[in-house]
Amino acid sequence: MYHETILIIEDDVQISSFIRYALELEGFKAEEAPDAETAMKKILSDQIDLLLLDLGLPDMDGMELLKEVRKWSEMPIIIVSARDQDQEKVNALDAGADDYLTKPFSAAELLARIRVAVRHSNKMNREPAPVFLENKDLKMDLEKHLVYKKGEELHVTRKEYDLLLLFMENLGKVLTYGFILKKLYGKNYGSDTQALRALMAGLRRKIEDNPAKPEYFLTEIGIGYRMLEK
Amino acid sequence: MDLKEKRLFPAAVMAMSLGTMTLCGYLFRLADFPETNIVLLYIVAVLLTARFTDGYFWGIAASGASMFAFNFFFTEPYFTFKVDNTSYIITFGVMMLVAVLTSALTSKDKLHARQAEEREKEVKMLYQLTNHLSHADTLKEAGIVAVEAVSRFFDCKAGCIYDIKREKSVFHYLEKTDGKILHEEISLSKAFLEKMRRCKNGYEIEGETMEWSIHGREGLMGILRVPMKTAELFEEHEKKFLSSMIENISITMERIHSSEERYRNKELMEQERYRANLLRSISHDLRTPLMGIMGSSEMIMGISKKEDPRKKMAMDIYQDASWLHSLVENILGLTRLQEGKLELRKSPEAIEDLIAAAVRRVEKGSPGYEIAVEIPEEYIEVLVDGRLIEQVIVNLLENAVKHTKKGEEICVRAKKRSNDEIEVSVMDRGEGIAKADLDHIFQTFYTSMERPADARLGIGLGLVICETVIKAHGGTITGENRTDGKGAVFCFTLPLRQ
Repeated sequence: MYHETILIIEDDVQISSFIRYALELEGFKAEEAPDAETAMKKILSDQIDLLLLDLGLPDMDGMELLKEVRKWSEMPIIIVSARDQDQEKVNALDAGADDYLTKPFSAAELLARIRVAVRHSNKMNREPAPVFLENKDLKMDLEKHLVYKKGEELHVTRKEYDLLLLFMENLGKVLTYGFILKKLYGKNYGSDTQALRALMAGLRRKIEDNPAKPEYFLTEIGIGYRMLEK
Repeated sequence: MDLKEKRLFPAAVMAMSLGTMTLCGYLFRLADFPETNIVLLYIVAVLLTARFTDGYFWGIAASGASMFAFNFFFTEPYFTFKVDNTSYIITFGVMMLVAVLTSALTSKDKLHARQAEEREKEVKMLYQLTNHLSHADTLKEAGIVAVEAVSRFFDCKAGCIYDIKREKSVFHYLEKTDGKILHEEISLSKAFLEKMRRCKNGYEIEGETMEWSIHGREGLMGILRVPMKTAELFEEHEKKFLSSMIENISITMERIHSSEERYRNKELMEQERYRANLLRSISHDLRTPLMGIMGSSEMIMGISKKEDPRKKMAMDIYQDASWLHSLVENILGLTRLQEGKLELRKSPEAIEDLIAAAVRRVEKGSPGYEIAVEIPEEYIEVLVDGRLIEQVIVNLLENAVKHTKKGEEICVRAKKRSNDEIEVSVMDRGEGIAKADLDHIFQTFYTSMERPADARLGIGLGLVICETVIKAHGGTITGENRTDGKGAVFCFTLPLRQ
């Protein structure tokens, strides 16, 4: 059973109610705020564990609220935005949002994202770093720097290992191109994503049973990649 | 009358001045003044003649006439042209010389003075014209100023056509008649317009009028018309002056054209902004309730047991809402395209990424359909607007889904056609394209006539959007029936990033 309280920051009453109902059905506690000001008050006064933030808020830009909260809290934040707002989504993710949802989304998608975000945040609070990471047929041995697929050792290059590790540590979460580049190549690498895409293609061909129809890695055009939890 | 007066007047002046001075001469003789004074009197007469007549002729004629007059009236023997004292010949010679020089100089001065006066008049006129033109805000106002100025300066009935543009054939004409400005519509023959277009620096004669073309950077802007009566008397400097006036008029007209264009562009931008806002608000207004419907119906599906009839009903609601949603997206997408506002935000994308994203989306929206994917072993990148190309593949796949039954094969394949091109094909084993539709499938709003009555029709926009997007990327798209069995194949190409 979930104990978390989720704050729904959404100006449209209809959508807000729908989300609230879906969350409560799943066992979460839900609160609503129609604008950033009310949201901020609730965040400061109530025990909020996760934010669902609509980027198109009327008063304060959703981004402003995001940046403000990120100054002093690591709580999971999932942003909600419209279909053609890729750049806004990337900006929000790079500014510290954990994941995103595109309207219209289903209750299933919403809950899936929230579960990933919650689990991830709980994991971060646990102390010792794990030695093994697993996801369906994949297993990573972090001490020996080895990767296993279906029990057999898989040869990967250094960079492929780093990339796979990044995904495994963030299972289910979307990673923007920028985020991956920064983690793999350092802050000063710039924004040329070609090397990354080529790296992804190589990794996909090694890990996926059918690289043409990937099971593990999802491409989110314009945003980044996501490794699915199996 | 005019010409006759022109000849009589100077003769009269000469005669009068000579006559007067002769009489004065007699007075001087009576008063016993020295003879030299009389000579000087005649010089004065020559001066007066030169001063009050035009050109050099009359002055010089007066010089000769006064010499003979002096000989006749004032040298012995009187009233003859003979002279007793031969030293008078020298007097005559000197007198003639002085007279001629004086007359020549006076005439020259007078000519210069007149030219300077005229130039001053022209400059004043030009200044006034420029001043008035700078206040003209419309082409008609500029035309009126032009007509007034030309009419006033040349004292004639000038006319002006002020709104010549490439596509028009009917124009407006202004004419100064009897103190009023007449304004009417006029149509000009193509031949005439061509003639005026070619005449860049000057005029064409057209029957009773002389036509001067007013040219701008973009071509012929107007025509100034001067009646032949006035124009044929134009001296060279008057023609030059009219050219200067026309230069000014053309500059003003250009200025007005530019500002009108700027205003039009601003209006267009306003319209665009209004339209974009309208679309955005419509889409927002439609999307939100649709999302609510989709969300709620999906939840009902989730909480209903399989046998519950409400599960199927909720699923129907969900699918209808989902269809409506993609319809809204398509309409909005198409309106944006048709306005020519297709903004391609190109960035390098892996073709396999685009296909994977599209396939996933379609499989999610159409459960029960499995789509096979073939991608090349090597990693291929294209420089495209990822979202749009993903949408193209989605549209083609959704089309395939619409025309096939569950379980029938649908396949999408990417292949490098050459070093410059990549080809993506979507193939199915469905019912194929009806022969009657083959030529029309890419037309806007075209939907097949051959659908079973209960099938969802669609609004016929998916393929139009595909074609527009692919063309905008410099590729080609085709759709035809398969030759290796039943079904259809849609194929598009994209140029490969160099």
